[in-house]
Amino acid sequence: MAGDIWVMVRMKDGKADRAARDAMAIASAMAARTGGQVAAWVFGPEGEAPAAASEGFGGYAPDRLYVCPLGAGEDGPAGLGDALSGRRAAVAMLARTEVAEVGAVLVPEGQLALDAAAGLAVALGGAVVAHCRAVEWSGREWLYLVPAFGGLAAIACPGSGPQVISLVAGAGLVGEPAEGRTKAPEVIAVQAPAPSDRDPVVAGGPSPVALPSDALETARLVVAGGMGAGDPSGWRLISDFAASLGAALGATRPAVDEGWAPAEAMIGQSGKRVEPEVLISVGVSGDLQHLVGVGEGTTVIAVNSDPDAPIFGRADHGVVGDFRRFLPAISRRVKSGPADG
Amino acid sequence: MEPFTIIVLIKPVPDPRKSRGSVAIDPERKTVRRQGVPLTINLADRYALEAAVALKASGVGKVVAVAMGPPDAEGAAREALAIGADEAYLLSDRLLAGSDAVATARALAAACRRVGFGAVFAGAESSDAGTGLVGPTMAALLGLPHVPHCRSIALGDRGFEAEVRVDGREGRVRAGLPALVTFDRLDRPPKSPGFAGVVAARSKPFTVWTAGDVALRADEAGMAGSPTVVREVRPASTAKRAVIIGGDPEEVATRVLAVLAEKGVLSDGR
Repeated sequence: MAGDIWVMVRMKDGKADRAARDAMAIASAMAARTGGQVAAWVFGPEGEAPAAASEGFGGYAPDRLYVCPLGAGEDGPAGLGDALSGRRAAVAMLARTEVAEVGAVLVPEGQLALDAAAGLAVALGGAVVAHCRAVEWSGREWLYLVPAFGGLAAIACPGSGPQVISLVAGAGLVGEPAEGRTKAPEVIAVQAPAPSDRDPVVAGGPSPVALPSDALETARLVVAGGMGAGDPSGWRLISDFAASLGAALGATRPAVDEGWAPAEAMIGQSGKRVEPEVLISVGVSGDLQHLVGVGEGTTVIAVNSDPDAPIFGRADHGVVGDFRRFLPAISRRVKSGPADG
Repeated sequence: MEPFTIIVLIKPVPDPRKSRGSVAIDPERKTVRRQGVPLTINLADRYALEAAVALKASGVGKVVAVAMGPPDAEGAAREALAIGADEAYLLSDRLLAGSDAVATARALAAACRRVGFGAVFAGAESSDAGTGLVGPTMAALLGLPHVPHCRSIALGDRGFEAEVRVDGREGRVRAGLPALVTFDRLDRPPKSPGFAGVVAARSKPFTVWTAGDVALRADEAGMAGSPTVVREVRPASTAKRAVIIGGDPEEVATRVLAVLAEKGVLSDGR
């Protein structure tokens, strides 16, 4: 890989979102290998964006900072429409450079950002990697660590083409230090790309509503339910149990597929990644696709009626038996008094 | 609006109800070994198919299912016919083995061009690989607008109007034809084909295509056509051995609450 490392920066609450610092550190290390520059591309209100974005870069300043006034950013009322034009914006970004000078493009993870990532990869004739958890220098090539097959797949892009990498928030850098970069960037204002009548548009009617999104990721105690819930009444019992503890409720993919829990509650390979202090898993067999969504620092308490369930090989504490017997007892005790009684 | 064809992309995936524990990684190819594992239609694709079939009432001419996979994916393609597709194609060729998201999208886009379409529907994500990349990559390859994470869709004079839920936002989105629409899994079980559907499927056209049939060159397909390669698969984390908490529900409650208290995760300082 040769050339510049581009970073798409997403603005949130008026500043670069929390993924930006990690992406800039990774870009700094990658650019040191290619000998290219780091170019950050910020979508946000004109004028205030450069300073606001730089605050979020955590000492890894880009060489070039492109600012594009695409709507009011993520939280604006037109947020959905702006986000939908992500692919167009991404391709417009390429109009500012030569494809041959692009080594990699780092894109913050998100459902719509993935659209931009795919559009970029096609426009660049390059590779695309989604859900990247960490970027690792192997001594020979960059490896992108992605949850797959119940573990972490180390993916390489051996071709000479550009590499488009979609990074999850908190993505790490392994095997290579990132040099801090403090030189003030060259700021370049860019006109917003003209909308195309081919773009999907937000139709009239109710404006997009924000759904509660990060309760699961920020909770210190999570209860996760699986197929072992058995039926909707079993799921309700698990849900009541979570509520009694003040815990956020997550689910495995099969439980979501059964319609017991919404897709937003899914923990695992293509769902959310959580790292609470404690996770109580109920009726979860221990499918690796689910477990890759649970951080290694989490203490896991597993409740399952099958003593041979794989979950007991990944939990710190286990309760073997029918959750219908045990959960209500725990809930009652929480309501009635201190735990050390 | 003239009647047009909707292509629905069907990914044959290991049946989650029948394949527990039997899915293995191919040590050579570093891909999921699907041979011998019962295959079924990826769940999100079922909702895409249901939506396409429902639109036949609003003037859609034909629903064509297109799948890519090993020969034993035929059952999944035929299941699409039973659910209501009018024709099905299975793109199956050893040349396609080991395709990454870009190579898969390229092969499916070639098949779509050969079939001809007014719209392409697909699941937003598969239950096995789950990259979510194939839909948007195909949209870019085919130069189509992409309506992502659709939950319901209607057809009006000016094209599709869809309810979408993306990145924690809900909204209504409009897109003209042709367009590519990806569908989420919904919070309800998918419809099952029913006996009449299974019988009807037997007389519907089913065709197997090779890479050559869709004008795909060997260097565009499979591992050769994939810009990414899996170097290794590492276990997610170190194994633990759970300390079993035994006893009656009251004893278990005491010990579980002690763990929660020690970690400081109970509210009210408990």
